[in-house]
Amino acid sequence: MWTLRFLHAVDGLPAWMWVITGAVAAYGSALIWIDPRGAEDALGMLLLWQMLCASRGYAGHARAGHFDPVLIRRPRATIALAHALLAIAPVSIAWAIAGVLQLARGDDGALAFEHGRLAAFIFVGCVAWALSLPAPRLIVGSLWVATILAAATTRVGLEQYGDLLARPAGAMQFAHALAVAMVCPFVMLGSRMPQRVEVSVALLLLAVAAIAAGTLFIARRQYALEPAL
Amino acid sequence: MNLRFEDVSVRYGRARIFSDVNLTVRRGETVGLIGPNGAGKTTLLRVAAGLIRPRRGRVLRNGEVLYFGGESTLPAGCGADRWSALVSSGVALPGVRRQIRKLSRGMRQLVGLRAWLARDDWSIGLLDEPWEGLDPDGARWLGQQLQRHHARGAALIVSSHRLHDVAEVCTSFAFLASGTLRVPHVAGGGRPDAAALTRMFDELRGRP
Repeated sequence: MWTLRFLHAVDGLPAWMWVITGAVAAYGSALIWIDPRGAEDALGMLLLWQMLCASRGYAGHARAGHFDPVLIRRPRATIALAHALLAIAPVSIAWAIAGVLQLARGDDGALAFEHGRLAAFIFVGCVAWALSLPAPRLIVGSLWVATILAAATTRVGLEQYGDLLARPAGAMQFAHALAVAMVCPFVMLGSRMPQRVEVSVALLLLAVAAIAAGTLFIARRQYALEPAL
Repeated sequence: MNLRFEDVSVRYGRARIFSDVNLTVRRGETVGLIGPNGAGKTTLLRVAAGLIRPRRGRVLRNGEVLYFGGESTLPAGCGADRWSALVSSGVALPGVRRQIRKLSRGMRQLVGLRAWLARDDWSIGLLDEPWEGLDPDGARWLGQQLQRHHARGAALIVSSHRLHDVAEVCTSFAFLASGTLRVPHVAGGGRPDAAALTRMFDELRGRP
């Protein structure tokens, strides 16, 4: 608990990001409550916000010595997992609320807890966290969003998605589907994704690999102060 | 023995910071670490704290470590009282409620030192330039705190350029220059004053 409290105090979510998280959660909940057809839009918003929120950054604070007290008192793996938890938790709570709301409404299953959508959400949180460790906060998430926008607004992205849907089932289709889902996890929010179960499992495995890689990054890093380098 | 360096060498890329450092700090010993800017004093302390892995050699620690790297290592956006409460493990400190970035340099240094030195559950203390920014009252308070921890048997390494203060609280000295750590022999076993320390340091560096 001390590790979580320390990391939260030193590098917690800024107030404006808490406000947006609350607003996204409230708007998404309202969408779901008013009209079950709005659930996919609500989950899309949450997925987008998770991309940015989980992109928390680490190296800047570490270089400045801000994490020294926790680094000398706690195992690095504990610090890494606590850091990941703090990065992923806020929007995860909003996602869970969305699922619970759907269940409370008596809809046919909660979309937020369906394996494909849940796998995409977990993948986004873990990968955004791990990739963001060497960078400042929000940078990796912003680049990811920009890449998706670029793909969605040019022929490349649409052609890739069209090719994927037209491809015969098999290993090549799986590889193609996974590649598309990794670049643009939003495709998992719809129901047209081929080989959905296999892609979901692969995304979950990649999420675990991202957490392991992030833990290794924090554990093996040299914590010299910036002026010394 | 609380802390021991055995043939420790550190490099950043191709740059050698120091090599073959051997140093033992025993219970109740306060070592003054002296050296010019850029000699690697901060790196040596961070190696001792386990924040940097040496390229060669090893550091043996026997007990919990306290390391304070100076006011610049305090997170600017955090409330001073919140940070103090976390670092001091709940030891009550007179509150400074403002954000750390809004405090003066000396106040930040004092907040950091007060939070760390309030605790008694460590046995190896590593303080990097602890007198920096402190006013005379703060410097006196710091001297008293170091004496208190020395008296309870903590092993301390204190790096500083302020030779008067170092001479006052340290029981032994180590000079770091040109990538080499030297522990001078003090004739007669007495405690040298600041002038003697300056002389020793100049002699070790080959200056007249």
